[in-house]
Amino acid sequence: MHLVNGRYATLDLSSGEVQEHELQDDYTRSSFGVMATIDAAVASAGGAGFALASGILTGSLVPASCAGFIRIPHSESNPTRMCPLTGFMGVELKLTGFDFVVITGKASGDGYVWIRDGIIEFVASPEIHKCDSWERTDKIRSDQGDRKIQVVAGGPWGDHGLAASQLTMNYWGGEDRVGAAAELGRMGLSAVAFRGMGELELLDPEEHLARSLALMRSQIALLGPNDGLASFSEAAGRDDFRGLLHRNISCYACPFPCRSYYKLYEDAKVMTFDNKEPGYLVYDVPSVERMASLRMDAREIVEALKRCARYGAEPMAVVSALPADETGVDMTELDAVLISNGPAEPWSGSSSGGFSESFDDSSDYETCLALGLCPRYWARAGFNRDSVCSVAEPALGMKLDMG
Amino acid sequence: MRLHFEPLACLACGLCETVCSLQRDGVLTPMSSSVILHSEDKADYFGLVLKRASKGLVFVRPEGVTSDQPASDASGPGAKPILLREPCNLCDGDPKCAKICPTGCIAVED
Repeated sequence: MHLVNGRYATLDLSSGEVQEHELQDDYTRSSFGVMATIDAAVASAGGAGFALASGILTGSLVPASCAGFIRIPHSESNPTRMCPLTGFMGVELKLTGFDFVVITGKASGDGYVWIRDGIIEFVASPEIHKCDSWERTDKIRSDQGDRKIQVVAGGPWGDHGLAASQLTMNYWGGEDRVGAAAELGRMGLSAVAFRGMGELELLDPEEHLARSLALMRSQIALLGPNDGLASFSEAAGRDDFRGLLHRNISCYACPFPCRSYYKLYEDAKVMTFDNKEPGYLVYDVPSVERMASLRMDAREIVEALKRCARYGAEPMAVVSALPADETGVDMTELDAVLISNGPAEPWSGSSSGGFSESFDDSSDYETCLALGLCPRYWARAGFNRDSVCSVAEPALGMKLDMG
Repeated sequence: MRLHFEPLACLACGLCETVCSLQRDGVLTPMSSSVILHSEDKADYFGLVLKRASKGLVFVRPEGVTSDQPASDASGPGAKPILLREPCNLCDGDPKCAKICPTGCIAVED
């Protein structure tokens, strides 16, 4: 098979048992087949768990082929839930040697799942549950000796199984609005970490490169100038945001980033490594817009997002529990909500700009993730199935069915 | 012909790494490229390191470009892994990293 590894793994946290499975040769033939295969794998592993997955084109030269995803198949109490993995997470996951991993059961002690080089294991880490999500990323990278390790962390709110919890992706948040962090907490899992150092074969590299280049150039011309988060968020275009802006940074293979990094306590325009304040990378469009509607200024919004990420808390739910007036939000009160494990329920009001809200048709969202394509980028660039097939098929060596 | 860099145009998309490996080995991976993306993600500090055949390393840092750095001085962030890699051969006159770079951070100059 081309562009994929052709295998997946299952890990039962209760027994520690790991199994590897080969994928059918036609796994990459259709986007809906990917989801069906994953759901069947979770079901045959016992059902109560989730999958961490890359898409068919994740890691290719197709524009914005950065995405992976977490999929929690439906249960008696919940529908099927998904959240994207952005940045370099999808690529790093795929290059571990597995196209997806299924994790089930419940860990008997504190620790995290560690995936790399075709190996998946549970690593006991007695102190990790005392860490916030940032400290978990720092600790795992330090313990394993690699600062490129990707860490999906539950955080304190996830540990408590709070419905308003949110996964933190290395240090940042915005992808998980489906309670995936609580799922990790229910399974006694502090984090899932992975590092990819493998490689993917293509049938026709030259044709894949040529078609990807042509597609990306046409999309860049269509999209026009990029302004980072401000290209996707009206609030982020305000002067107070611009004053804190350090740099825009994209996910893997994305020519039109939605992510802007803001510094609060250093001169944001200074680029030396001496200036290394851990500011905050913002791409959570719904939360920014929600907080801006509460009259919070840029500094308050970025600080609030940062604090929520450390606790693994979904920001819109957190600020909904705060009194707001014309002077904005009191950070002491925000901290009190975070420490007290805040609202029990997730934000249920209206929102827009989230990854899952990229398309009017939710099936397009699911198709993008199955393909490993960022739904936010492709919604903006125009999700043309023929274009995707044109760049994908020379690499895959087969027709791609997207329904 | 040589590569020209505009450090602050870099988006850290990683396409230069991937296409370099693809050109060299015909596979998708960031592990065998002559150019690597270095990122200190928590501090939002990122840039590139290029290994050349005869003139040492090129560091493309946000502060600016530093050329002709000997390997023994390659103590900057991300420098170590590149010492084990093949040097850039400019794709035999058609550098793919410059072609695929979406912002012009990497360009070709004579």
